[in-house]
Amino acid sequence: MTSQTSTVPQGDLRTEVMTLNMGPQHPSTHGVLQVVLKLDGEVVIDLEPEIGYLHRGKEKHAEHMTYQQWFAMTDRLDYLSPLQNEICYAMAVEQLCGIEVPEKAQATRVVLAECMRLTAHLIYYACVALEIGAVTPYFLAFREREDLFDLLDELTGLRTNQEFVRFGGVKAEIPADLARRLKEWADRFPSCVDEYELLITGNRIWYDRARNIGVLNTAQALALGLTGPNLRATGCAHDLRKAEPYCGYEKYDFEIPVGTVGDVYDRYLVRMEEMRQSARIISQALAAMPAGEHIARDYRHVLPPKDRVYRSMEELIYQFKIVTDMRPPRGEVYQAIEAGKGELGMYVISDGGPRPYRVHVRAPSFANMIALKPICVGRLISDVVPIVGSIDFVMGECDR
Amino acid sequence: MVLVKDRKLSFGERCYVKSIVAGLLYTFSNLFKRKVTRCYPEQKLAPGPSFHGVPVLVKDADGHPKCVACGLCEYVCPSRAIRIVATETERPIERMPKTFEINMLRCIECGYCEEACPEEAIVMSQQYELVASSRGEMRWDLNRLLTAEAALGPRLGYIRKTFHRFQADPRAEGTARAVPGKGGTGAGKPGASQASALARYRDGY
Repeated sequence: MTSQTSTVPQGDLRTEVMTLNMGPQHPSTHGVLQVVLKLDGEVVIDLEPEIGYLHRGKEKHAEHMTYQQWFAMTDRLDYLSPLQNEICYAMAVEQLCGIEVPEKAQATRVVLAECMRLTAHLIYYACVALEIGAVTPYFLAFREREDLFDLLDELTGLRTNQEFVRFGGVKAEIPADLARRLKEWADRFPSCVDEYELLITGNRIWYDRARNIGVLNTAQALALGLTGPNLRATGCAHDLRKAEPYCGYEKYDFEIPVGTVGDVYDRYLVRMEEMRQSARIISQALAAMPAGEHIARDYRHVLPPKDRVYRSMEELIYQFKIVTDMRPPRGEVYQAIEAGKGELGMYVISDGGPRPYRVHVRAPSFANMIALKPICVGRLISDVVPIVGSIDFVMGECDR
Repeated sequence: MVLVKDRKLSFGERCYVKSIVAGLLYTFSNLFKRKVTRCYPEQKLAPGPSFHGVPVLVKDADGHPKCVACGLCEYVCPSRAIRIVATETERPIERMPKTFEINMLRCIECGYCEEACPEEAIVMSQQYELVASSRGEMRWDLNRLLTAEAALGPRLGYIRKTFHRFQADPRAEGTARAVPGKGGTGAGKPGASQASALARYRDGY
């Protein structure tokens, strides 16, 4: 808590610290977050994020579900980028079981993960602009988001919470026609980002509300456990896609945008550039989609082909065995990927049974939330809203 | 590899005018562009074969459910929406559901039931409008779930295309079937044993 001297003249005027509840129904709190602010005039002297309003016990659910079933829960963590959660969880269990994922499945996962980064960043752009009072960006962001969801819907059958990733690969390959349209969309998308930038990047109202607001340097960000765009905005070029490449990210040509100051404006610039880079990755991955299979041929963990299930007893047994009783060997695994909001980690412990002994999610939203207090204390109350928007969290993932 | 993003405002931008005029012009130009919204209740969506609507049961040509009440969908359902009571039947399939109930309030339309079903008996329909005036109406029973196979044609085609065989199936390519190895299902360590297991799987059991 910093001691901000009050500008109100003392003397015969009686002043006191005011407690103000922001949320849990405040429109800028991205779900159900309550922020209890202590105010000295307009200056925030203390702040307490009250989390837990969206706690559904997802991690506890895992202990009562089969490994396969918990996919449905991962979708509901960060519901703005469900497929990234699925990919992370699948990779953790695959590591546990020793499943080798075919190249085509990996490339498909890259496409899906980058699509999810785009949808998450589009929501970020929509919300952060709306919080400053710019309404038009919201509609523009949703325009592209809907286009992308239409394409994903065609592939997965569901617009959000797709349940598309399986242990060993993905449910289906991307059909050639859809791949062509998705690539067209990805090639067109950077021009849409230019349109977004046209609206607010050079706008002085937005600039003044964002520049030098909520500054965080690299050392502070690292100490708080921040990752992802929030860390990169401080100038630290740490990205798991480059630092510890997974899913074959080393094959794609993309750049890591970093900021210079580490304020709200830098976080915005970094995410806008990340959208362009993601579109580049999607385009590259679709252009160079490897031949082969979209799912591993691992008879112990991957459901057998259906036509054989109908006819052959052996495959029928495996169908039953895998659905009801897939047992990864005893062990524990931590798998991290670069999600839209930072490092998303899944820590899975298996005791050799058909259900996970424990699953813990290292949620980037939760780490981002912790940064709220050090950033906001000492700033004006009107800055709290853009800061909350700029550090980008989803309560579904934060509370789990 | 690392791209430093920084931006200073130009003089015009600092005077507010430039970006505000540009923004307004862009916004107004949208008046003359293609409309991106759809008027939903009037213009219905036409879902493709991959679409996950509500799950329904397939009715065979004689009007019987194809379901053999094995309970696999009930087991795999993450939201526990399915309840099955099995009974015996004189037909060759020997077992059938006495009651089959899906609670559509619980169903998340993930499609795991369809993927787990060993009989192509439960599939995702293209129905996406779910309205009822009471909770009880949302518990669909066997009669309500049964749908003629003909009405589910596109979805069944999609399932056959997606789940039926591996892309490059050695049997489909006419590769000679190898002598089946000794079946091993134990949770072995990955590595050599896994490679041989994979080879067994590839060549048939």
